[in-house]
Amino acid sequence: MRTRLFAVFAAVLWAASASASTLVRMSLDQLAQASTEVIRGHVVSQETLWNPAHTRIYTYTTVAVDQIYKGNPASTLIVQQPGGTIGKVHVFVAGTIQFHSQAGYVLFLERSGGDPSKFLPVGMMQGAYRIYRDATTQEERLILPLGSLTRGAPASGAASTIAGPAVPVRQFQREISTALSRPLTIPPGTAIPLAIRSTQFAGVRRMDVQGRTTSDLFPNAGLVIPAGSALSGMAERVGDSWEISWTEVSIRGKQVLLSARSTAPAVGSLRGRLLVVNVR
Amino acid sequence: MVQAKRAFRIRLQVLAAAAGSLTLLGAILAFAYTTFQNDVDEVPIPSRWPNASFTWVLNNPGTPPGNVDTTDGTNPLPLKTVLMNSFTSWATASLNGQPLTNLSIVNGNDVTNLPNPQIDCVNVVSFNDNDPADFPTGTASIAFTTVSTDYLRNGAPGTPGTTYTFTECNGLETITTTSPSIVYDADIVFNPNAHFSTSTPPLSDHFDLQSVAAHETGHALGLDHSGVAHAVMFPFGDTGESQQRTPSTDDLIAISFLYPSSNFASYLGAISGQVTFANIAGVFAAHVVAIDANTGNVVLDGLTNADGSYKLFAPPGSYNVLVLPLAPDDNHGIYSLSDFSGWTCGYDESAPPCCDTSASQCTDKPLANPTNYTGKFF
Repeated sequence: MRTRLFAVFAAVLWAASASASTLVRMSLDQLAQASTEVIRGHVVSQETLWNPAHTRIYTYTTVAVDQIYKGNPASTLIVQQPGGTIGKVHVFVAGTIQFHSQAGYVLFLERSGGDPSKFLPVGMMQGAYRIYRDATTQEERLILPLGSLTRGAPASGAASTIAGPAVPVRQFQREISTALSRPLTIPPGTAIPLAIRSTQFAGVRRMDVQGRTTSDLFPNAGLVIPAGSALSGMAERVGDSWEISWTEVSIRGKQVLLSARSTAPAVGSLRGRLLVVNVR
Repeated sequence: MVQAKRAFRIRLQVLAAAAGSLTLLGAILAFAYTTFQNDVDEVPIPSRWPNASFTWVLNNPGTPPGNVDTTDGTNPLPLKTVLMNSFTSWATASLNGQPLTNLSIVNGNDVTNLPNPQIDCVNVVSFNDNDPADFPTGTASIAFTTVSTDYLRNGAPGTPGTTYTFTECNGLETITTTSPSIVYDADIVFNPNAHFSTSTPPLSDHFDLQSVAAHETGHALGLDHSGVAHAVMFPFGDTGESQQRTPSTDDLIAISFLYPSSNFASYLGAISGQVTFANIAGVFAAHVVAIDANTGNVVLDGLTNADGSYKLFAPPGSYNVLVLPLAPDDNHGIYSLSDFSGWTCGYDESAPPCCDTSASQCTDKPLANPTNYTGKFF
């Protein structure tokens, strides 16, 4: 069953779900870092479809890309979200974005692992900032989503007189650039759970080791290490154990140095082992 | 709290709050309490479980998920017990000792290897959703709930007591109920990449399973997100925190609003009014917040209707009402809290109260025109 929604876009937007439910609050740094694509664009169309098994509903919003801050998307992209309305079926998923027809957005996106032609909002509603033009000043501003509650310290004093929920787009663009250019560091004490994926002979009693993180990590307000991030290290046989020195992690394609050690019994293959790496 | 014989002292009923253009296209849904609502003949009707009855099942109960720690920490509980506790917290909701909710929640026959979530009239809690589109890496979603609803399509709702018949899930289920808008399927899925704890307090680097489950079960029962940060239905959680295990007043009123006991109408009063601004007769979708006049803590919130009116059910007490603007724009159709910029006062113990710190009491200052307010929200 297929319903083209754009013709009745306004009537359908209300039906397109409320929003994920329990979320981790993400800072702008984290949003920028966790995204594979950060763009400014505007909504072109929207449609809601059943999945092939006819058991779930997804809403697909086509966005024309006006400006690219990160990544290499095509001129238009499709944002996939769960929920929406087809005929009598109206599925709410709290935390999803309610896109507005023709409206401009700054979007923080990740390519879907299941279908790389589709994009998923990072942090659900936290990854969408709607743009509007101030009627008085004609300045472009954008609306901070509810996730912005944690952006920065609570305002106080005279500077907090801004009651409006919006910030100038230009200012936000500068903040994105700063966030994207900020060097990443893994704070000491971070515990990284990982699974060893591969090993390679690197000399007598030595092996190159590759691992993947097994859970999403948010070590501090400026960093997110997505599950599946690759770690590189060197294992050295010492007695009955492998002493592994981890030296690098790849976070969304960005190589970040780290200093961490872990130990694993030298019984059987290292591949498939689950470890927790503590960063020094 | 000042008792006022159920008559609420509302120090300010109408505040200037610009929600932008009122050019609204298509159906309009206005929220009063944050529930999932459908538009029945242009009347927003909350979606409820038919006959206040909800049955849930656990997927693969015999296979403990690897991301839920039920052994470490202090007094860790079995996973199933935690889920039962989270559902029970809604079913037995009472406020100041007053049971306000009439809601039956039952754990049915658990299932094995049922694909989840899916629209099948089986309400499943699952920990093994490995669809990468549901939980993309690094995107901060700990869990989510799909809530499938149906509603009367033709004509206006009948008078109270009118019965409606719905046929759902390809004829699998026929429902007769007095609500013209129903929920008929709700599925909860937990992120397999997130680690959960069942101990008290939760492990510091784990999410508290009972808090997350309480939030998700709130969705399953028909509640949307709340803008009150100490509420179970506030959308954000963090590792090591268990604050959201217990429903707040905002949560309790909301669930009781959907599934009221006979006490609901007699115990609670209502704060009502209309939000206007300049020459706008009624501001649609302004965020109305009831603040305890003595403590400055946010107690309840909701959104105004299309004509600017609002009605918040509340326990006896003395309240100030603060109205905050949502996103300034030509919103088409529905507004929700995702359009709300937020404010920082009154959320919880660590947040400042919604009053001017220079004032000796929480009076007057928060009630000034928010566009000129120099207090805590931003």
